[in-house]
Amino acid sequence: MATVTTPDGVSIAITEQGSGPTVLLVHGITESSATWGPVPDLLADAGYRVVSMDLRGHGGSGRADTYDLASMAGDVGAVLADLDAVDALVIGHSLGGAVVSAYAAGGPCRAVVNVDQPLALSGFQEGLRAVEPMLRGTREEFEAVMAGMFEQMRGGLDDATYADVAGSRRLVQDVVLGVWDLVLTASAAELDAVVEGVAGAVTVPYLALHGLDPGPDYAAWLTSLVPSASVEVWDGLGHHPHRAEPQRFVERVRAFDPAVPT
Amino acid sequence: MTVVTAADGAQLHVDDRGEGMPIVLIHGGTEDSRSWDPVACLLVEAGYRTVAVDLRGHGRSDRTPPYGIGPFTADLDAVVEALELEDPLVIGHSLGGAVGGALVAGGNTRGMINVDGELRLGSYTDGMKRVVTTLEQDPHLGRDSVDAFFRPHLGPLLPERERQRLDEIRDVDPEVMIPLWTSILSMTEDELDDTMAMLASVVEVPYLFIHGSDPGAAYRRRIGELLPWAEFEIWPDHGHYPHLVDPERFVRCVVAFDPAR
Repeated sequence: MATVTTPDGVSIAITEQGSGPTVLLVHGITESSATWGPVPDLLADAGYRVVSMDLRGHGGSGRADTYDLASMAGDVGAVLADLDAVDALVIGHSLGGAVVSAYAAGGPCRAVVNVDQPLALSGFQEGLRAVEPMLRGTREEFEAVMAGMFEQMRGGLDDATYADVAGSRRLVQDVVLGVWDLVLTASAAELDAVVEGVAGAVTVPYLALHGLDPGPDYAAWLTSLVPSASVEVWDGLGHHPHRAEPQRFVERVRAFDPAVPT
Repeated sequence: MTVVTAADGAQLHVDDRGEGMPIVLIHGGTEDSRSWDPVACLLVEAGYRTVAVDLRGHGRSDRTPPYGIGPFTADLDAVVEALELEDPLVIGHSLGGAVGGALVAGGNTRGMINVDGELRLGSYTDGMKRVVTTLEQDPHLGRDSVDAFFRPHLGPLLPERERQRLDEIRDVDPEVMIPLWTSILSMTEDELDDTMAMLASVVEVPYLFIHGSDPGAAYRRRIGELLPWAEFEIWPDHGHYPHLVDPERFVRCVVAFDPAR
């Protein structure tokens, strides 16, 4: 593991393996590089230089005073610049999917894969507000509501994989509240404006891969904002489709990637 | 990056990572918290929370006097309190070893590891005086003078990668270094020894010294008198940065020493 220090002084832990075109992996909320399981090895075997980073406040990276999307997108930029890999394929899961989308809106990369993070956030906002008192409550309440959320999104993960994913999580209340601050405090209209501002600026090839069906209108909505996007639903696999079927995931990434792996 | 406000309002930058039993990491002079990176990564993997501080006048912390072991120790007390660190293990390198020694004398820690930080100046005195004189007379030569001071202590085993990293981190600010080093040099050997004895007399926690070269029989004997329970390790040829020569060994050593494990 190595460290990249961002311009605002946050230590970002990264791991690197393999050689070939660069792929950057960005995990989801409360998770870390470890949550990718066998995916980095499989990507390296498929001919990639695989870099996995821990988001600020997560895994081996440093805590910060702010966990907003722009800061985390800036961290992606700092990592890619440090690695001299501005033409990377950026793959983000869950929160990481939002982060890499925000990065791609302003920063250079060759393509984006967003794993199971719908960019339409109004439904998520309603759900989150319903449990807001528990999220801001005692540690026990907070942990219970987070566990409930992840359980709901389990989908097709077998017991061992589900336990492995759950074991990689660290439920840190101030980090989670910091990350979700915008969703919890912005009006629906403000949130829409942020999402449209981010998504509308993405021009590179964009694969949205969902293990939980984002709904019948989602593909049309997303492509109206990101014309280069394609939406795929691997129905029933749940929130971690890349953990449910890692080999299939890597093959799909390879087929989508505009760069030919060595 | 987390910011802690010191008693006088100075903003202190803190690199706070991981979860678990807390470890406070204190860097040496002219460096900052980043010098701990390879060690902090491994400690987090081993299940610790690491809190690496930028001492005032260093790294991203405010450049607000006073600079000295006393003020640095008060700042660390503020960090331990603000981040609610319960009985941290304290690890200090070089100048940070002296600061850590003062911190653990204040209580509420579970142990101290001093990494190649002599609690007296001994052979360093003349070199430090030369650096201060150069900084006062011609600040432009300050960096060369500091590099010349550190070079003989890097040791043959420090990898080129780490040499370059330290080179990038090292920051020679005459506004900080002149008052800091002058305050350290203002004490005679006897006064330093008295201070060391006074601090040692109130220390109750496990203590480990790791040196990258032998600091000499007289010093080892004196440590043995003051801190009879202290462990003393010498890693030959590892130089002033034994923890960066072999971070894996260093972390194994921390885990084995840590009274909480």
